[in-house]
Amino acid sequence: MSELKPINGNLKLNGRLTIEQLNALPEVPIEGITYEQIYIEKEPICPEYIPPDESIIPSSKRSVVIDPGRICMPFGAMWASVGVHKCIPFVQGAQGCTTYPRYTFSRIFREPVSIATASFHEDAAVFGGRRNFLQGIRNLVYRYHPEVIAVVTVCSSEIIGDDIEGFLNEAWEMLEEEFGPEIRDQLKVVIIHTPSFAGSHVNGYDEAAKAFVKTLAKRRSPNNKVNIIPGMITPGDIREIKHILKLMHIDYIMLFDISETLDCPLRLPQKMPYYPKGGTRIEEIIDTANSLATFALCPDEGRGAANYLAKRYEVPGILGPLPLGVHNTDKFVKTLSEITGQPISEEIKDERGILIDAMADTFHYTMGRRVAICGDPDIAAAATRFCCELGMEPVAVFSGTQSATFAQEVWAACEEYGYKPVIFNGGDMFEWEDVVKKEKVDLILGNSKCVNISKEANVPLVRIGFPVYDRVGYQRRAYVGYRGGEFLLSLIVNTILDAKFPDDRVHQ
Amino acid sequence: MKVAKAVKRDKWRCGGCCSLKAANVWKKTKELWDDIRCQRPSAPGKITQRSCVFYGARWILAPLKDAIHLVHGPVGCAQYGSTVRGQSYRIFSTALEERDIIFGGINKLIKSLFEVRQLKPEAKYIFVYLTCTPSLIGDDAYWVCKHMGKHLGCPVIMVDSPGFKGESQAKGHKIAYDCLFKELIGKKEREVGPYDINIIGDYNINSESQVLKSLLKRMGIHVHCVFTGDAPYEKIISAHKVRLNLLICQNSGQSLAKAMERKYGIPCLKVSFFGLSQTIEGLKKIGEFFGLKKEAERVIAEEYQAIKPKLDWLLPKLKGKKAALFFGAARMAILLRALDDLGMKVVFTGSQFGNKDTYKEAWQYAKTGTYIIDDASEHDLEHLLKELRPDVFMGGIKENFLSHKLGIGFCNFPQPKVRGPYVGFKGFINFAYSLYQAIYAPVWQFVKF
Repeated sequence: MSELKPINGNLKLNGRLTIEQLNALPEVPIEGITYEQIYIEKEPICPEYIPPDESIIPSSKRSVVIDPGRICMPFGAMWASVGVHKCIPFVQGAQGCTTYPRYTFSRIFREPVSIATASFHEDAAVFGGRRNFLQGIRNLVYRYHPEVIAVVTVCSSEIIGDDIEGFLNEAWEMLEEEFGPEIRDQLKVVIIHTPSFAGSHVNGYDEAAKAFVKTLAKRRSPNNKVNIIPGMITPGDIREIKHILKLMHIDYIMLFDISETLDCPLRLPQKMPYYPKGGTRIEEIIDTANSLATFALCPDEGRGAANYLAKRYEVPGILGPLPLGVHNTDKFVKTLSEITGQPISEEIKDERGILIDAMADTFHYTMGRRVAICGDPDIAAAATRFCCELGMEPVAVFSGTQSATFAQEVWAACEEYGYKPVIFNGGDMFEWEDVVKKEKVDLILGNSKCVNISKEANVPLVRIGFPVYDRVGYQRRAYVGYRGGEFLLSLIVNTILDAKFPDDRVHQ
Repeated sequence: MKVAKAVKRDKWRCGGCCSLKAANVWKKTKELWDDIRCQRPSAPGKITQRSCVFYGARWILAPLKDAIHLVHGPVGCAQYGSTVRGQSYRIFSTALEERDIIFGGINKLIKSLFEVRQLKPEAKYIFVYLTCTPSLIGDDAYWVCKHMGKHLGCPVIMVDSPGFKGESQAKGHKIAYDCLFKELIGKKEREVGPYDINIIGDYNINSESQVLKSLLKRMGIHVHCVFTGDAPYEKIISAHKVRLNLLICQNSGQSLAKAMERKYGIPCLKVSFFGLSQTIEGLKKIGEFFGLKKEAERVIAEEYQAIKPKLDWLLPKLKGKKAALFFGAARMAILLRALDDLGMKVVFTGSQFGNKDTYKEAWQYAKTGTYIIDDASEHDLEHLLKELRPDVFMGGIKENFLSHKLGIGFCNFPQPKVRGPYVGFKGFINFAYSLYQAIYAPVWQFVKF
């Protein structure tokens, strides 16, 4: 194994002082030693990267998937559903399909999340899920009295071929008998078909958004609002979008607003059963058919709903890009202004100015840095453009979910700035990891799944996207908008300062 | 409003004084308890804290580091299963797609097995987990595993764990241990020392296995294999050559301990190292079994002297405080006794999937007036917490944030990495200090405004 090369120069210390030499120096001499030479070395977890067989690296040549950058479809559907006020997702599947997502939500958002299960057992696998569905809906209404039930199907119920729509008719009859005919006004049921083998969480969110709009939206008089389908961004991001809309005096309907359901204040006493006070109201979802336009911030996570509203109710749909970074946020704000006729307010111009000022103050840290990016397609594409704007060079850009627009968007951004990154559209993290380890990368932008890669390759990590579960507070921070861009910029620069320079060389 | 009326009739709702009458809640009285209704499937429409069989199987098998773990199923299960007890493991998946559902996933499984072997030639054996999907479409994975074992030159073990197979993850624990017992244990002979033992049911959370090993080593006892916290391949296959099995987690490890007792005649000793009295009792029991009474007492005395100053500081602070427990299973009874050592009062205790033995044990050690709950839903826990208002609540991460929302301190199990191990004598101090943190955190003063 000795003939195999170490992963990159960071470990070999080519042309630099070694750690021993550096420690032996009584004081860091300033003359004659460049910053590059007093680079801080951190012990990598594994000393040598042994590249696997070339034939097995690309995911297209493999049938096994290693470290997939995606979760199952029902998770996305549940994410959208918990953003609706008093909505409980009802998972037509086994208990694990409920508990694993609840566990994941808890880890990311540090909030309790109520998701009910149809608890499939062997009998359901043999006889079908009809009995579980009917009993489950009844028990859910009886105990929790929700306003919306989002029925989320999973692999097992789709394979055994449960006729959910048929079951629902039966369930309505049963509910009317027990709770009276008013129940039809008090309760809405949305059916979301999300067999896990058909896509990823991104597709699941898309399915859910479409199902909600399709089931609930109704034509009424125009309301002069804009619809926002946020996609899988954090509560902090949604607050920032609301902030921009408020500054521009635009009325809006924020669909799947998790900002007050997955980031709630701790205030006593709590009512029983515990429901977060926020979330999108049903009235608002019904009203989406009468808006000025639909903004799907993440095109892959709102395309279905936006297209449906455009075709059925002639509400024009604007698909992305996610307003992260200067160019994308400019585009978002300008489009908003065009559609609503509201001028871009002075406050927004000030916020933009602050971001530009921050970029001007820090470009010497970011320029020329080589960066690898991973995440959900829209976040990764937007982050790539922002990195280009900071003068950083994207080397490898990875999206776990295959997307129609991701590769084009990344390519367009990089072509504008003259870079040629390797783009992975819907592979697995194993092939991306290989590029990260072989190329000399200065920084990784990715989620918490990249921690091991970052440790092994000895490259610092900036956490962004879904999921971040090993740091606190990230769900409350915004990455989108001008203020979010400023936060992300500080994060990137501080991470570079931590990793690349000794502490006494970063005083301003 | 009809819905509201329905709720008034709801027997789940407790009145002013807690008069819970739900089917799965019992109040401890002096009479004997014969009406144990546990291990039943949970009702549909419940926000259950239970999980599926695959989760249970991963819970047991994830710490086995020299194996390849291949999940045969859609990609979601693999991604969820890669995190066990807050720790990430690399996991391989066949990532079944729509095409495979129609035409069968066998070819993909065979190809994947060859590839993982090529990627990890140093691995000793391979686990293939079956999830709901391949079980429903009827992939004959058993045949594949049997034949691929010959091709690849290492055991390929099928873990038949579709999520719907049992009423909770307890079934998954049993399936996982059965796999180890049937496929691996007993393959290799070795010379057995006079004081060799196995530990069953310790999962090396924050190096708890190392703590136990060193504690027992000071008594002169050699721990051969810890299922599954510290179980390299070589040790698993010769695990039948020991004098004694220590059963720590009664629920998950019982099947393995019984099977080994039946087949190899290895006696099994049920002990626990949570809490002071149980650790002392456990060490004494082991000492008695091996005739090492003096050594056991020496270790106990030394360890107790070492922690005494800290214990003296902590005990008055925790005395009389109210605690509530909700765990997987075995800890329900074990922690009752640990909290007794601290002088704390347990207002309710419960488990997701406990069996009759665990409930009987909990009943035995619980004080009169304690509520015992089986398979509590989120709803039940909310009501119990609100009515009984414990000072601290202990459970898993799903209950953590609910408890915080109600303004009650929480102590997480399995403990986060920032805390040390909870077993043994020093672990008891760690545990008590975690409780102290949860109860005395200044944040609870600010909750009311």
